[in-house]
Amino acid sequence: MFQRLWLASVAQPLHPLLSVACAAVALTFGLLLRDATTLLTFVAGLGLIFMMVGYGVLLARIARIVIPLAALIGVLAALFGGGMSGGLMTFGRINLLGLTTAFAWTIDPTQLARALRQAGAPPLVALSLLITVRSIPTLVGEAVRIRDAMRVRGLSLRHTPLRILYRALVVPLLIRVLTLSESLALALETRAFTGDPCATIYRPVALHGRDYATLALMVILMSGVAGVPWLCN
Amino acid sequence: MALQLTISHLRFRYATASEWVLQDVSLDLRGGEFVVIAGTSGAGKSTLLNCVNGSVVVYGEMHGQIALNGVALTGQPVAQIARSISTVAQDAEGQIVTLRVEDEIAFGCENLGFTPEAIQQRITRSCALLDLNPDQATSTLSGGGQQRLITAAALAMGTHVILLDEPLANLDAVGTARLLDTLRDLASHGALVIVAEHRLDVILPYATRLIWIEDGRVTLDLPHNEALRYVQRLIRCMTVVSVPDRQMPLDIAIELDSVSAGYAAVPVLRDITLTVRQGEQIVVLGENGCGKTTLLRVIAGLLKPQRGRLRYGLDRLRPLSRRIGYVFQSPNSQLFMDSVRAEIAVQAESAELVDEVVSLFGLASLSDRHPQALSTGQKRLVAVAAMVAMRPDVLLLDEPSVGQDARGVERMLAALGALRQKWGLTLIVVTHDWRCAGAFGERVIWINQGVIYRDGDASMLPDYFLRAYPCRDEVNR
Amino acid sequence: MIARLTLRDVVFLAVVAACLLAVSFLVVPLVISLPIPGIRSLAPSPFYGLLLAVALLKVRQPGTLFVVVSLVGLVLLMMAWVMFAVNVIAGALAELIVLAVFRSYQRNEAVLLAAGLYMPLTVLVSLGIGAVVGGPTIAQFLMNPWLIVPVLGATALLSFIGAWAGLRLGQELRVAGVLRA
Repeated sequence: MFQRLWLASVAQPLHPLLSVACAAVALTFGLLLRDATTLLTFVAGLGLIFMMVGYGVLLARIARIVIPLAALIGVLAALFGGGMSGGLMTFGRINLLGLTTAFAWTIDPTQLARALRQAGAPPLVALSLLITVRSIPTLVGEAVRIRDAMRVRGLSLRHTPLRILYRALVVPLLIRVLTLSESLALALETRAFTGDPCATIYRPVALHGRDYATLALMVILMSGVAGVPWLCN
Repeated sequence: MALQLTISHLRFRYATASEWVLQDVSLDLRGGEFVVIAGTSGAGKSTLLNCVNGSVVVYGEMHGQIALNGVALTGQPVAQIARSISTVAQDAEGQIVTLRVEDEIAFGCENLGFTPEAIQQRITRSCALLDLNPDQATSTLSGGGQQRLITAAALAMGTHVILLDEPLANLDAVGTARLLDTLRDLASHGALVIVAEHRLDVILPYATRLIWIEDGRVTLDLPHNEALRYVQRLIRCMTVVSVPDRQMPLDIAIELDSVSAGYAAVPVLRDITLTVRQGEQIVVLGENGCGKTTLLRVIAGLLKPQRGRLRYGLDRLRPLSRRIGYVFQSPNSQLFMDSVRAEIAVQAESAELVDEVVSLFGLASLSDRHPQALSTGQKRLVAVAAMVAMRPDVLLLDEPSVGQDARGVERMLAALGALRQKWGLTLIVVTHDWRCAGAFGERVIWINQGVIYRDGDASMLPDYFLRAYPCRDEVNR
Repeated sequence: MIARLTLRDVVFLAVVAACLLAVSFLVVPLVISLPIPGIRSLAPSPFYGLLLAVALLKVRQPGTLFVVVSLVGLVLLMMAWVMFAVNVIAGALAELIVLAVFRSYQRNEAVLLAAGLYMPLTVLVSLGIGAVVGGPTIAQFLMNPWLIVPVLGATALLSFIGAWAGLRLGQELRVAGVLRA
């Protein structure tokens, strides 16, 4: 739901599985770096890759929130005994966290589900992701109906005993979860779903040049960041 | 290419109940037919469809045979049967599995192994037929859009037998005409279309055959013309209501003055001026999307009017929730206690009233049962009873007859009539069902596209329910 | 292990995950302004306990809890991958602990423990991840017992209350014939 806003700023997102992989790898790599300068160089490098790949606007939006936050926590860390290097490390790490989250923000659940199926995951796994995302608005709608039902019945925080109020909230929601899952399971079956991995994938997600480029750039960056100090020694 | 679906001596009973929902149903259905299955009870129609597509078998005990082109369907798994028979069930929102319209339509086709190009063609065709945008997110669809989507998804599978359960729910006049045209077209090309529907006034002009199920048996099997005449007669008979001799109407209960209301910039209801007097029994008719439910919500205080004034002439000392009772279309959101009696007692005005309501609605035998274990019709009775136990001055009912058999509707009518005598209970009922409209309609308000089109008495009912019918000459041919 | 979950079970668990997400989306913004640390875990805790208990009552298999919270995590992955890691790790831990103690979910006590244990575990795992990522200074700050104990305790309390309520409600619905196992 919130993703819609952010996705709009990225015209052509990367392949979803690549995004996940990059985020994971970048994070692990970044956390293993021992000194502040290398870390900050790495983070800056990542930012550059973002811009080259077309995520510039997204980067700007994230930077606006993350950099001040990281600075604040970094200063606190420095003051509380980390010293300059400790503060910079923390600053770097929070920024890293923010950047890798950006990878995640560009993932569209439909694309992720398709990519998972292409990668060989059982169709039911991809489908359950879709079902979960799909059901959230339905259940939020039920919550709204429940609120209306409570108003119409005159139930309110002030006048109704808690055990009745809680039932009025929870029981209809649970019932909707049960009826919804039965209805969905039936819908799957009546559309001939058997979990067969050989079923067609309507719009498979392709790997574009952009994806390969990102991969290459990441590799270069990481080897550069890791290699240079080693070379210098 | 003669498609044939044979149902022989079908009997079905749910595991949780002792009565047989279907007692002895035998039908011979062919390709090219557009069959409407009707009946007064809610359960029989859906159960029949669910026996054909195999989905209900695990929930009970089934006897008899169902065969498609000579091949027995009984015993096959649902997903296997789905390769030849597609189903559009009730609860449209609960059948949408994916996040985009095109994916939803593609889903069934993917499972059948069509190529992506074939799937693309089917998506384009279905979207054109049912007025859908393939790129749209499924969460942004209206109720009617959802209904059209699940229908498109089933039709795209290209099976020769299509089952639809109450497919007209949430569809407005345009959507209804589109869907029925599409179905009639499919049938004329050799498909077998079977629809379970209670809105016979709308669907029969398109259908080729009417099958009526009563008490688990087939009591009527009429071809097109005879079916039309039969239902026309029914509508004319049932909608003649003798206005009871009462005194002049009393004080004003609710007054709307040029009220406009809605959910977005363009209001759904426009410039509604209406006066409801105490003790009146009003039926509100109109297409889906015309604003009937919005009107109820405004009266109940759930939606503030964007323009105009709303006044209540009732006992101002009582909170609004006690002056106006509102029973939703789906009773599940309003039931939450662990026994029927407790449910009715939750906000009841007094213990005596609880007892009275329980006996009036005939719920004594059910009073210890868990509300969620009841049938839809029974749940609705309980929801109405619980609302009535709050002693409202005005009761709003949204589709009270859906899922109810004739007895349930009568019981509700009797109970509400008694309460009207007792404390002048005012009733406003929204319905699509002509039996219900006939039973409750002393004053009839017809809303069309957000404005009050006509406001009169029961003599209006035949006009409304026969408006979809071809002209008299054609029917009598 | 997970192969014993039927299609209906998996769909049900996916919808439970959606319900957890829906509740969080509705509840958390309401309370986020309150200056209580850990409020983001505290507020949804009773609902998590309740829904997980009901889910476990319906599908009494090892892996049920893990599937639900992983699905929640997978959706959150698309917003903040940390949540995915927290959910998966906490879910796995909860299952392992309960299975070590009870061996299966046949007993209601096992259901209660699993459903109640999950949220407090997420607090611990979050702290752990925060410590690892933030570096040694942050770790020191986070490992403050004055901070951890109240948050953990409150989360655990709310979570177990929710789980107990869920257990009772689930059994009531099962007797009514609505919760088909």
